Amino acid sequence: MCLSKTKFRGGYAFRRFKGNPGIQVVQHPIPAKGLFLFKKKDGKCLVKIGQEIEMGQGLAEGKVSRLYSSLKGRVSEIKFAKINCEEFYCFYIESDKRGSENYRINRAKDLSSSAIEECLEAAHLMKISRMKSFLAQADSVGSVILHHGEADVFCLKLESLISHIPKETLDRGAKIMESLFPNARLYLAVDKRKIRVLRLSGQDTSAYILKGLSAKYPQAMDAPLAASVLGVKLNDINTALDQGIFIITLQDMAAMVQAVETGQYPLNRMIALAGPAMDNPCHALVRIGTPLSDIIDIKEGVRYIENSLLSGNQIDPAHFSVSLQTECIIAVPEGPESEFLSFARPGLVKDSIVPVFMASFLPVSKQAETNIHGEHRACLNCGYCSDVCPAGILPQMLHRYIERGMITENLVHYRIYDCIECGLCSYVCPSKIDLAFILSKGKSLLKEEALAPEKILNQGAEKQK
Amino acid sequence: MKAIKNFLKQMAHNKALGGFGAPFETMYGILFGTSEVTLKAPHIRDNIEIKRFMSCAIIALLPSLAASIYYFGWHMLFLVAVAYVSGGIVEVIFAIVRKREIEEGFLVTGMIFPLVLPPTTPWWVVVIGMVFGVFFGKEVFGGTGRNIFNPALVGRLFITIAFPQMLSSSWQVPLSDVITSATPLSVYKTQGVLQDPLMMLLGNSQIGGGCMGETFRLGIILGGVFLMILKVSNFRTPLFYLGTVALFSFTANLFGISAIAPPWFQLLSGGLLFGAMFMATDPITSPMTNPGKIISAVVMGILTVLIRAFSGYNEGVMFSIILTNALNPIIDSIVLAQKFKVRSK
Repeated sequence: MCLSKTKFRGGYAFRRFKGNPGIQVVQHPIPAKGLFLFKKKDGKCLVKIGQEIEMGQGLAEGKVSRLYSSLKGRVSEIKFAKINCEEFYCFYIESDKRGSENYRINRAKDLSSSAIEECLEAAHLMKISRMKSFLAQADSVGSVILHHGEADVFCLKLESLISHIPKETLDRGAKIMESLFPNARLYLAVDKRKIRVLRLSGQDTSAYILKGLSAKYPQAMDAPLAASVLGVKLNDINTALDQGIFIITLQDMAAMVQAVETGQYPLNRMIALAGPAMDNPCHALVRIGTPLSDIIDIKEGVRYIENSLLSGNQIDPAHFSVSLQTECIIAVPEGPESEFLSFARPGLVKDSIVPVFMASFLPVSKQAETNIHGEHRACLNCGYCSDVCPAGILPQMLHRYIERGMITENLVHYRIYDCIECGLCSYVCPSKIDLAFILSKGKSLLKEEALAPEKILNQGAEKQK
Repeated sequence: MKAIKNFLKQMAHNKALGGFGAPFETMYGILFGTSEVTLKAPHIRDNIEIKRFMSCAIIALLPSLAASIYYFGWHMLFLVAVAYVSGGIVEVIFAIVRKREIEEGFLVTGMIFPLVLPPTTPWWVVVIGMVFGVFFGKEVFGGTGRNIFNPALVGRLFITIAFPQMLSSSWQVPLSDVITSATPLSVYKTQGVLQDPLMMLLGNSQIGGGCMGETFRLGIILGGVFLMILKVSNFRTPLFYLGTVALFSFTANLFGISAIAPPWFQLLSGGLLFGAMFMATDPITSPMTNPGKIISAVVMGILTVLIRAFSGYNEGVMFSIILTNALNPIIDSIVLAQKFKVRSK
């Protein structure tokens, strides 16, 4: 597939925020009661209350994915819960608190792609690969990007992660990838500040082409990754994989290697516990399925967020456990009460894209909280949003179209579908306009109006004919 | 303090007051900020807000204001107050009618407007200009963010045409009460005589100094650079505006066109620095894209030199900015057409 060339532009470097975790790693005990969530819409239950289950046994099954238990024990409860407007199955499992010593070993016979796929299937890891089958797309994948992004406000640190994965992981991962995607070039992309860490880790990276990512959020999202690693622009209709690029994170790759070597479903996950409201910001090695209350003390007046302050979801503390997608749990105080003359204060802990606060000039840690820091105002056309936009579009213009109800081809022409919903435009707006939300609303309205990207492209192609 | 807070909050949310709650809400916002929190991702927001944004612009204007008070007396402060009160009344009326909070932009307009007037301007002319500027320059378009023209310049243009004698040929000599019709620009135009550059930079000229805020050019440069460093104003506009004026006049001088003054004189005379630093950079009336900003700055620069040299007016900054404001939508559409070209496959 021919992709047009581009570079990663825009983005924003979040620096020195209070509550960043140190690199020490705390090992958490196996929880007495684990919690596993599965979308109700997707599937059906495979177990009953009271049933004894083994590690790696399926709990629920849907069309494309399955949910597995990383604990051995007894199903004590199955409930429904509504999280972010979606119904979920909640499986509570009373565990025997034993390690993985009796976990079955079922390694891949050889490194042929069918054996690997079989093995990953057995270890239930197809979900991380974000595809149904490797075999189907083996030849079309031209690039594999193994990455670890670190430009979010709070994120999992490479130092901690790499010290806890076996030394030969990257090399073995490369062999697996070469077998799965014989035509692919392998890239290893980490934040450019962390290349040294990678070199010192003792991992053999000779099979990869090393790339340093510009230290700006959202360096680790698909489109910016493709832009900065391969210099190509992903189109907005298909997934990266359909365009011949397989993207996987370092931690997922480690899980994949482990699965191929041992046949085991990943039991533990490294997560970062961060944020100004976190008592002891650190990294933690946690059993998948550990409920939030087992990891941290849940406090009132604190908002818990999974993975990213900019694009992550708010956590419902009662119904959250560490899953295969968790990388970071962030605790920020719910916006403190308004400040007297807040706009005129020197701003010793205030972050801003423009250096109008003292914090931009001093070596201090900045505070993150949920206050919006200002009143809603009309758009001044200051251009901060388009300056930071990693997709190179003009949110200040698109939002005017959408707010005035002009849902037309113009939006598509001005590449609204390039928006990757990183949330930076909303973050920087001095008029406190929620641009990211308006743009995503615009996209869904467009789709309703039957102006989905595929249709427009088809029309264009027909016209050309 | 708590009592004031509660009072303002109650007034702002009092349904019986209707639109009259809006000014109270504004007061509340200025004093106590906001306690609103984000509801979804992104969960945190930048600390920059319009009040901070506009405060920076006002701080950048302070050297000019201080210099005008020094050169022309405390009367200048009175004119600024008159501009604020008259512009503020129009703003408040519209805020009440529209049931919207007062936008902070008028604090900058109210400060800029008197600074681009001759020091001898009577207070009632300031009132007329400010009311006209805010009303026809901003509110008729739908308020802040929707205006095409810089409101301060619309007001200035109106009174320039309505009171030509007062606004373009009676200038006060700095640090004295002498009124003259001579300014460095007019002296050059009529006699071809240049002034001392250092004197022009500091503004303590022996002839008419020009408008209140434009005499002390060192302060304007400081304020303008301050805004550019803070990224409150986009550096492209002043840079390319001034650069074009310098380059164009330099080239014209090479060809021996004597109507066009030499580059340094162009830069240090009239309202060019003030206009380039504080008025051309107004984000609302600038093009949206960075290339657009550069194009419009170049157009402004060429127009300024041409108007100064070949029109009946001595100064062309105001006209060139207003004319370019009107051109901006076209400039933007050209840039956008280029930027969002349909990719050929």
